[in-house]
Amino acid sequence: MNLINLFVSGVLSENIVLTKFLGICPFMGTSNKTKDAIGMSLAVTIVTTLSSIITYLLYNYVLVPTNSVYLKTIMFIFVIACMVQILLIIIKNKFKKLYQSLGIYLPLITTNCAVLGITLLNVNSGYSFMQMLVYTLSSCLGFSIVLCIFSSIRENLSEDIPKSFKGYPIAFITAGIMALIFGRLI
Amino acid sequence: MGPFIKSSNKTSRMMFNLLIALTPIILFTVYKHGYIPYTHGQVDVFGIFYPLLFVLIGSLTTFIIELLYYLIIKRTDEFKTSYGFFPGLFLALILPIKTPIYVLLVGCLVASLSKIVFGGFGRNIFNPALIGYIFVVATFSFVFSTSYYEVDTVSKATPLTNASMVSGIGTYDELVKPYGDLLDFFIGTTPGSLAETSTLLCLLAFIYLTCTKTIKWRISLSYISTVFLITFGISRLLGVGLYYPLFHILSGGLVFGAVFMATDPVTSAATTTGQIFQGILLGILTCILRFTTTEGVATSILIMNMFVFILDKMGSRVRFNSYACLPWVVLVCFMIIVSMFVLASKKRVVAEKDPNFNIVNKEVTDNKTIYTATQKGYGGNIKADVVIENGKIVSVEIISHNETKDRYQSVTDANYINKLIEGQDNLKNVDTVSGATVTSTSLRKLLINVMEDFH
Amino acid sequence: MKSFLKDNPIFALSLGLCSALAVTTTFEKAYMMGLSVLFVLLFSNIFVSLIRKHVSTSIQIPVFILIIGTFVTILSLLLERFMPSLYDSLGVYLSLITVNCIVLGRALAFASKNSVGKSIADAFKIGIGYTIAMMLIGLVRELFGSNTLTFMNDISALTGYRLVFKNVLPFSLSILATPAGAFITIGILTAIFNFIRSKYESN
Repeated sequence: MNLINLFVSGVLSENIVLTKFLGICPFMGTSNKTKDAIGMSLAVTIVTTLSSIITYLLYNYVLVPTNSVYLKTIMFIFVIACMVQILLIIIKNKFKKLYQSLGIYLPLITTNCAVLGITLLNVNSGYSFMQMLVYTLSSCLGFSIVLCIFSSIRENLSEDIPKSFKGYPIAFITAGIMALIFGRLI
Repeated sequence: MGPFIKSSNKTSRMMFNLLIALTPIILFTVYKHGYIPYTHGQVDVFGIFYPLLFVLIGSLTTFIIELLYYLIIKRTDEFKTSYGFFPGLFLALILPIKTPIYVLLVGCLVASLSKIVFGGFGRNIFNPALIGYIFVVATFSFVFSTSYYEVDTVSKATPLTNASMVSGIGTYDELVKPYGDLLDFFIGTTPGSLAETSTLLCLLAFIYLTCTKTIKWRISLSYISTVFLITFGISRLLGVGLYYPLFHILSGGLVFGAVFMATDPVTSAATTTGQIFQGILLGILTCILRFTTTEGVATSILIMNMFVFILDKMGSRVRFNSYACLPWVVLVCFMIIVSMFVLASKKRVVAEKDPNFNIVNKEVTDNKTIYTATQKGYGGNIKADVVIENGKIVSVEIISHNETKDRYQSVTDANYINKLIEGQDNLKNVDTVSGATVTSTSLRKLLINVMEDFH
Repeated sequence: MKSFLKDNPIFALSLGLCSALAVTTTFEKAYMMGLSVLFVLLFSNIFVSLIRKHVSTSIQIPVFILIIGTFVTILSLLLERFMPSLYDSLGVYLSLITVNCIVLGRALAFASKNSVGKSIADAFKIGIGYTIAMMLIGLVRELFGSNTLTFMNDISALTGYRLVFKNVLPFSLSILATPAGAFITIGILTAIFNFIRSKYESN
């Protein structure tokens, strides 16, 4: 399966938020500002890419040969948690300015379905290393695009929404319409 | 809030102008789908006005639904300015003439709901008529098959469906001639939905609406120009004549969508730069979608509905009299050229056929297609009957196979065929059965190839 | 009833949505996922509550996640052995219970501060509320979306029975079986839920 198709489908037709429902929590819960959305997407991309590489290597060169594939859930979440901690320390000490914009999102990413989900999907689908990289990057890109669009829409929702629909329901319906539209793309 | 005009007098005048602009189009559709069948003896005198009735039913449905809503929440004064009949009106105009009334009603219900749930007129994010349209496409996909379109009392595939079945770029004879000549496309005697075929009337409407300052003409102009530029570029790259870009401009409801749907005051950009960007991006998206799926206009407009706020933010920062707009211009030209090359190269690629797959028999009835096909499995060919109804696989029956007993047993035990049917929207991702990988992969490939042929 | 309305994890708190949206395409998958979350919630609550006095707050999150992960792994091994087709259909979402906000949230908010008995009760309360919500979503999506009703199909490996109804209604809105339909279903159900709750609270 060629890499370009994989990339495009990762962003559009198999968008991880709109078709696989990963990363819904930050999606629904991000404040309505687009700036926060960009910060969150950046943080997710960095953590996911680094964790994917490490977990991929871990899976293929440690777990599989020792027949301990069943440990993948625990090992992967461990790797992700450590990755987040390390990144937090690095950013806090060396890039203080970056910490102010990204720092608050990092701890939330540990329990983000998207990160663990992408790492698990990578190994479940048996990708080669290049395919895994392309898939991870395209999924993160898809996540970022959808998050930015969504937050810009939410910023502009009116006050006149029927009372029962305010908050989560209208957000779900907007996401549903977006899923409907994205589903018509390649 | 929302990028629309504030004073209500101006809004009602706008809506009135829109109705005037739509009148010739509605009259033309009465002529095309009512009077012409009457002269051929297909319908009686009352049948002449069926298209008008269709449009009226659509408009009234959304009107009544909004009326009920505002009555229930006791805010009838808002109802006076909510112009509830427009979503239904537009939805009826973009559906094929033979759409069953219940489909129209359901679509109108969804359209009204999508307007109400965001807070009513002026606050909706997405074009309600298009939401209804896309819902109908997703749920009642059979409505868009050839038998629901009609011109001269004969059912014919729409020009774009015809174009998608042509391999490569398509010559004049393949694309235009089946429907007459380009003049037929311009006047509108080609198959299509109620309103989208007559480019002439849509252009007249555009001139009227621009002169009365009713619509955001920059969007329509940049949209159509971009599509023309891209298809012109492709025609130059592949050495075909002017008919090619003209064909694309004149078909698929492009002009109708550009004039009436993309310029919807509530869901389009407010700043002038934002409008131009919206039009350009619409053009690029429509071209890309036209080459990968059949229908591009509705989806592109809805996608840009999502981007409108971002575009307005960009638009308010760019002034035309400053050098800051130069990088934007460069970016736009770059995107147009890239799209041209991407699309031109796509046209050159001929689809590869799977040598292990063979269609033995194909039976097509109303909305049901039955395939008998073979796919090479582990031991030999697997032969199966696949029944497709309304565009979805409903049953798969294996007639013969040469797989080993164990393998075939594993596949049946894992309920694999039901899994494939369940996961048919994404066949490539249905996991294979461990212990019978080749057999299950072949079954999956069989269905993938059948669906590829079906589409 | 009151706590169902106030604390329901899916409708009131909007937590744990990944699985709610992904696996509710059939009624059976929905309630099996609900029961799986109940299983993990129960055992992790018990365990966390047992060791709560020995874990300092700073390392609570990683330790709890590891505990939850262990029970998720145990559950997936059990399911893989006894109900393999269910395991296949739940797919990656089974492992994602590890980062399900509900499980971790209860461990942090309740089990780490209360006795074992109370934690067990809490696990049941939240878990059953979650399962009922899942069943509701699964019912709507399967019945109106694919026009079937599956009570026991994939789990037949364990129970030996199948109970599937087909063509129950004269129509079907196939859109509900798609991801878009999942969002729309949960949006409308949450809105109805909010409406009922506001009526209940104003009485």
